[in-house]
Amino acid sequence: MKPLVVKQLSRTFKGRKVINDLSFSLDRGLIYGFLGPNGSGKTMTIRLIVSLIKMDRGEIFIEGKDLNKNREEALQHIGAIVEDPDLYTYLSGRQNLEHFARMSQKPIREERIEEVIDLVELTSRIDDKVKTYSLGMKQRLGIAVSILHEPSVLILDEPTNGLDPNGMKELRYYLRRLAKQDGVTLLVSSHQLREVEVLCDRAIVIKNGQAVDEFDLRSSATESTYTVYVTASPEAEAHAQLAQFGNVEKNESQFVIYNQSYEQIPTIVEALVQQNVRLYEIRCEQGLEERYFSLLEQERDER
Amino acid sequence: MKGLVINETLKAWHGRRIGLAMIMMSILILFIFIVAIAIDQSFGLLLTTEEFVTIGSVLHIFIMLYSFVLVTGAISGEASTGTIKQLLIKPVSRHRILLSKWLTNLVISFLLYCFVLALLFAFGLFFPHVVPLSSTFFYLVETALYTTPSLIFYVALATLLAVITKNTAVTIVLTILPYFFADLFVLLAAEYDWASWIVFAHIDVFNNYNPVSLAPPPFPSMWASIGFLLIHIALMLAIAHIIYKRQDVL
Ligand SMILES: Nc1ncnc2c1ncn2[C@@H]1O[C@H](COP(=O)(O)OP(=O)(O)OP(=O)(O)O)[C@@H](O)[C@H]1O
Ligand SMILES: [Mg+2]
Repeated sequence: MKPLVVKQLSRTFKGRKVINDLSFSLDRGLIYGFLGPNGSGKTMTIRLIVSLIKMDRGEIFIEGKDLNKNREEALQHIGAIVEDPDLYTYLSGRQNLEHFARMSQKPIREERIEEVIDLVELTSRIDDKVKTYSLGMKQRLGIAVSILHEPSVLILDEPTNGLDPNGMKELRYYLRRLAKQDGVTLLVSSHQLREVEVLCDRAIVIKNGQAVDEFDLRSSATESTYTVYVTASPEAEAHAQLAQFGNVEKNESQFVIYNQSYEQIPTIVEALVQQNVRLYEIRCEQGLEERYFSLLEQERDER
Repeated sequence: MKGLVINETLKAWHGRRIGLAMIMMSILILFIFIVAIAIDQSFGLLLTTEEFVTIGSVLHIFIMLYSFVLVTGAISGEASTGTIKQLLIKPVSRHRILLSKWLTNLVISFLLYCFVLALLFAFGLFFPHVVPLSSTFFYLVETALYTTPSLIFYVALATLLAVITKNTAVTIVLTILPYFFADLFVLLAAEYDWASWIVFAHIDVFNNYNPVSLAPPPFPSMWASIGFLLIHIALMLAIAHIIYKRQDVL
């Protein structure tokens, strides 16, 4: 059974279809990136999944429980942070955790509370009032609150907002651990493509409230395609050499060629060097950014 | 439900500063006490326990106002700070959440009122008494009970307005308006026969059905009047619950 299934979801707001016939489903234990430009409906989709807003049409199943029919049973399997991790700033971190622990269907023991405090590394500050926390600490407490009841689906809306590089790295580490050790399925919305690339197994892209694409980010190096960026001079010669490998785009002082296989990369370098082109920089990227932009381009062309 | 009530109590205590409110009420009572002593000294009036307690019972205005703050803080306050989102995605029905909010804060307001009356009584003991202390005590208990219908009425009104407006300031102002001006409205309408069907004519159960009161009561029977109030309370709460259940939380 799939942990989360979204079927033909629609929702109109003030006469505009904010979510339009959106369907997708998640496989257990994987981390999904949820991508889309501003206003594409990521947060709205999340609000619909956790029943903060009502759907006009469609169905949502969480662990097989129909959200429209068995709301409470469905919700007990889900944890989420929608937009900001809003917590009671006048209570301590521990009081916040105890507050939400009292709302769980299955009783949550004191040890479980200690365990999540340890997991998000807030042990030394947990008895301070939340208003004295930094943004990163609030994010971490927010995550602690949302995983307290051991949900099997965890949804995070831009969780890396306001985290420093180290905080992001640690967050990535907890989230991976949740997915790999506990089999939690994650849906993480983000604008940081690089973050999504390193954290997620798959990506779902939405635009104007519709799913545009879903793809794998963990396909092996040999299968996936790369985008190669080259800085070289003289430019005319470099362009001529690169043109044999595909369509070359010029991007400021860089040449860009798409859809190159991993094996092709040394061949490109060789071709340039043999023609005495001076090579300053060559960089290869494994597709998410390209794929994301080309998807949105296509959409733009269609409009 | 027990957990929800504990949660609401905890949030009211820390978030709406009940401890501070109790200290402020105590200071007010102390102030009234000092003024009463000063008047006693300079005019040679001998204030009695029962008179002091009657003067002090004007403090119920503060309890009413504070109860609006408690209820609206729990409902619209959580909507504006965003904490409501995490609350509503937990596996608890929205009915229970709203119920725990108004019920807990209603009980807290009532207990605060009892606290104020008890403190008044304690301070009143410094004055000589003419009527036996037990009947003054009984009078206070009676006051508390007679005030309950109007407390519940205003808590229900504040609940409804907080759910609709999701805005703390607007709710408090809209709830205070009838609290201060309804009497005037009832007075102006008094010459028409429908005046007794205005719900606000029924709120002051104590004075309406006090044998010594001058104006005739709106209904012949006090229980009919209380029943009429209860219908309005039930209606307001039912509407509040229906709206809360369906509301989009953005
Ligand atoms: N309160 C609201 N009332 C009406 N429409 C809204 C409201 N909030 C958002 N919308 C609209 O819903 C659409 C989807 O918004 P949503 O917040 O889901 O986007 P998003 O993908 O999360 O964007 P971002 O990346 O900026 O967070 C937008 O077109 C937005 O204008
Ligand atoms: Mg968003």
